[in-house]
Amino acid sequence: MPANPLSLLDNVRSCNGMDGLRNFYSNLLKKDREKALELINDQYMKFGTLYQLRYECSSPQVDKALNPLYRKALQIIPELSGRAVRHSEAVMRSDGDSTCPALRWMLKTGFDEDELGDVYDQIMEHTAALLTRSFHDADLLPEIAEMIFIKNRSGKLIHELVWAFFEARKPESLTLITQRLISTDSRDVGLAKRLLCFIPCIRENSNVPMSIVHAKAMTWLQKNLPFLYYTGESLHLSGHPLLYAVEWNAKYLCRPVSAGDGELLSILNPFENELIKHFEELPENSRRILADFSYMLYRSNFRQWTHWIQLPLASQENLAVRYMGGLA
Amino acid sequence: MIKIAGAELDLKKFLEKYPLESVESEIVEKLSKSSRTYVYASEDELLFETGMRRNIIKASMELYRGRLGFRTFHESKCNEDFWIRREDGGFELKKNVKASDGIRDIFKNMRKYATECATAIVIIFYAAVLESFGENLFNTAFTELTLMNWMQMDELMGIVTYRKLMDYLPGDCRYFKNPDVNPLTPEWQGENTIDLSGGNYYGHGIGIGNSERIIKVLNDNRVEDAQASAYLMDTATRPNFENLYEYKKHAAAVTVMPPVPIPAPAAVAAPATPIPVPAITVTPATPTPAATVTPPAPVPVPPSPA
Repeated sequence: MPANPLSLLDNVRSCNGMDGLRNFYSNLLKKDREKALELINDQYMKFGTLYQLRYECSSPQVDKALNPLYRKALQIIPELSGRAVRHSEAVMRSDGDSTCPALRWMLKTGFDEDELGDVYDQIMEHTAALLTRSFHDADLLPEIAEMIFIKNRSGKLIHELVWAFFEARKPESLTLITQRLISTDSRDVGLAKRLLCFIPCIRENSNVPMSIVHAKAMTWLQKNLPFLYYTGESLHLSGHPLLYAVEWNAKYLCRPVSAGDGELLSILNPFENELIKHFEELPENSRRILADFSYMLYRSNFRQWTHWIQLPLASQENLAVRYMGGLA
Repeated sequence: MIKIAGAELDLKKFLEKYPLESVESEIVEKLSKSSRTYVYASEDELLFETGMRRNIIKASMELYRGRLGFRTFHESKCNEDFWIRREDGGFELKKNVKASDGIRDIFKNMRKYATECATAIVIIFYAAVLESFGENLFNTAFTELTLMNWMQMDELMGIVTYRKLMDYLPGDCRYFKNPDVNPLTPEWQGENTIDLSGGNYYGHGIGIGNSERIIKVLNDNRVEDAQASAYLMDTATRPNFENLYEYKKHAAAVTVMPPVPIPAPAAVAAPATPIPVPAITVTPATPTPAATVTPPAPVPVPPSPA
């Protein structure tokens, strides 16, 4: 997909810096108001540029002429920059039809700015958190992931962005982190390992090349995705948070879970309830092997699986051990 | 149960060391009554852990009484005579400052500092080690300090987050999670606290209270139509007491090592004439590394609860 053209004001900012942009726009407003209003309403303008011109845009004459999306973005900046009033989140949510598109535009065009200062960074963090938590909008997770790694490379705070990313509770988005395992930048690799340390092959401290670790991690995700749930851990709680976990009962029964809390998405029948009762009595390692075997068989040969799952637990274990290589 | 060098601890005798209802008694009794077996190499090691846990609680109380300010990472502040404030909101010890001075200054000039709850816990843990180690050993062990969160802590601290433990102990860092936090105030997404014993916790920015109080404060900072209450997670973050103890023990062994006996030199008569000293040629100095005191390497110990 071709990249959007750069707006003239973005161009001025990129060539002349922030002060240059503000000088240029102030002068233009005085000399040619019509042109100034046309430029500020450019559909391809980035949020970073509007943010830099927020004071120039606060005059009623400019504000009135701004397109609704940009006006909304300017309106919510105070709440997003850490001056939140108690009800502002609820107000934004109730006004979702105009707030959500503004937040999306801000994040989509403003995620890769790394030089606009602490307040801007905080605005981006809050924008990301509002989108994933209040609006349950996961479309921009790639941009949030990119922002996390950009900030990490420059030694900036990433805690709140990581939190916003994982609060989306979308296990499928983990591939956005996994792909950083093979980044050429060691800082990316280090962070990806930290965030994915719930995956066994990443936890193991070995000298295996990262391309192999990446392949193993992707395979593990594929084998566990329907049974992963968000634990609620964060970088505030631990340096190596276990952000996701596998719901082994669900994997054993091959029933997907809610990624938010690990609850089964369907009601179990009496037979399944009985199975789980016995399954839960097993040691953790046995449960893990049985669950892995169960889902593997379920995917490869459903008829065999329906037969296997009805066997007594001891027979199930025997078959699983024979196939999977023994209970360690 | 507690086992010391393979034998079960004589609880009654051991508890005589402590006043009744002391923090140490609560810790030792809890470990003794547990269905899990806690293994220590010596009584000294158990004394070290209980002492350090007491120091963690003491440091928490001092931060509370001194009213250390609460600020998000974006707005954190520190005394720049001792620390450099980093871009991510953490504090890095200045090169010419001793680690013990840096930590002590936080308690002395508390109004010059303001942090988030995770950094407060990091400060508490370092302050407890300083108290347990003493100034000299602390400064040998820690020459570079970063106060921010768990990741930047020195390896010697051996910080580990344990999950689903059988026993939680005074001095543990426990985390209260606030799942329905207002996304515009993410600083209330959870609270790192120190278990002060007797069911009380210290949470930086909240204060001291039982779990209901901590939960209530977090619940007051949720979205308007919140469904889920804040709750105490099944986790505990601890320094590796065993590792720290081994370090201290080895350092002490080095300090008190008797001097190597050197046989007295046989009486030598002073030469009548001075021994000629060869002329010294001054050559450009090759840079030599500054003399460093190498502390004894910490004994690697697999992390184990308690």
